[in-house]
Amino acid sequence: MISQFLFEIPAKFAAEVNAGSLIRVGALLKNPSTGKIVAHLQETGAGQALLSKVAAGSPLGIAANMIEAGAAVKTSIDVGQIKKMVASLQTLQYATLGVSMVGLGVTVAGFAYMHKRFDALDVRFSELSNILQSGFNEQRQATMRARLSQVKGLAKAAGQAHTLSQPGLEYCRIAESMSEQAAHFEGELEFLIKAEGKMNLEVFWQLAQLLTLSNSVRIDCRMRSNEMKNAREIAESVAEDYQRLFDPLSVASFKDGDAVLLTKTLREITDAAMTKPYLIEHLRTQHANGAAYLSRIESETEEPLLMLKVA
Amino acid sequence: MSVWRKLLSFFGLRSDSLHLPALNSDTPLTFELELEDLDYIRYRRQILDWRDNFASQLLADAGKGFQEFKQQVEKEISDVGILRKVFAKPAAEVLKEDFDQLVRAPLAKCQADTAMALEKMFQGCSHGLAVAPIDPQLSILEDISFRAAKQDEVVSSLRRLVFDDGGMIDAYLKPAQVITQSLLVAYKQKQ
Repeated sequence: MISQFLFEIPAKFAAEVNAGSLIRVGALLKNPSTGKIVAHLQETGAGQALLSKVAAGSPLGIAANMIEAGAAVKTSIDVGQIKKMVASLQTLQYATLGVSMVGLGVTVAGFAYMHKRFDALDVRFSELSNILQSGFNEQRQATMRARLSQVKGLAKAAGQAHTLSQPGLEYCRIAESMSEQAAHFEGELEFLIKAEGKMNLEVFWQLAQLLTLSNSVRIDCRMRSNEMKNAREIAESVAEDYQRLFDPLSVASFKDGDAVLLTKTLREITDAAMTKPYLIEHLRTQHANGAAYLSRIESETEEPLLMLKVA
Repeated sequence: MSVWRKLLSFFGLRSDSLHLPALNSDTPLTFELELEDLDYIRYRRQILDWRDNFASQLLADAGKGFQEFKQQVEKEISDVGILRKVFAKPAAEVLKEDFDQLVRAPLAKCQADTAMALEKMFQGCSHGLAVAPIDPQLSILEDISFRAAKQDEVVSSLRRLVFDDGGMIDAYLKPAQVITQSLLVAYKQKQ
């Protein structure tokens, strides 16, 4: 069993990525000659703390602009940390910087961060009520509000589960409940996509975040209860769902917002989802304890992004 | 004999038949995912980026072209003589050439450039991109006459022709969607 996780900062891979001797596929780096995976990109607790202040619930374009400009929303934000994140993503040749960070915010589900994001989405949905009225009747809006309350409650419970004598059981319960929530948000997205006419970009983005966050919590809970094979299966299924939902969409599918930015974000989210099973499988085959691994990632306070090296 | 062994022998089981070999936690398990599938992820992204860039460029070119066309319409309205103000020509007849030059032509060029980019990636795939002109005679304008009072109606009708569902942008994008799907399916079938 691996007792020590080998991490490296993304900048260490810069030369090889620039030279083409390493290429990025989703959230991992691979050697194109050997085909082998070299490292997995991980957002840390430090990274999530940054994003929760800048991106949580923000309209997509605003979040991206704030991050790219290294702007501080409140004085507590470490501009240096933001610039470090942006530099790391540039190293890894992400097509869009701030947007990719918002998309990457689902690689690890730090529960406090998740709860903040669900909270912000709840607020944002209320702000969008004018737009929602045209597509969401009262019943659907009420159902959405109920669902939002439920996911917030689940994220909170997940954050507290480690204090239980048998946290694994609680993580399993939360994972199952989150699966239902994710299915509901997926259904809402499908309804929106199939409806006639162009989709309101902001409504779509809020629903997409609810779906991706719910799935992230599901997978995270399975990893924390050390159900690695199940976590991997869920991750594979989620990746298929995202391809089915997001791949057919293009800039022409949306109105009232930066559709180019959104489309690029959806691609990054889907790519990251497609490579997540490889991270989980690596941990599983190395007998890594899921909870220990996630704990290590969450407890990182210095680096917002790290690369998990594959020996 | 222990209670457990008594119970097992009652059911014809031997206790050692339940013995599982100790799992050596230092031995890595078999990696069950295919690394070749990472190539598909990259390939898929390449195709989607091609299609996304086409869609973005189409919208950008259509936006720019339509803005120029709108300005041209305003200019033509202001240039209309007294006689023509009374006996106005059909708007479709007056505006067809400008519309073709300022809106259709840039979109056709965008499509041609995209087809070339696709040929560079995959030879022989681009012929499916060709699209017949949508409403070449601007029949969407019906019998609207070319006069100042009808300017907004003319512009909004043509905007619908370009940007709405089923319009010109959609017409250009549909074959790109089909090509995208067939390239992805073909790749998976090859595996």
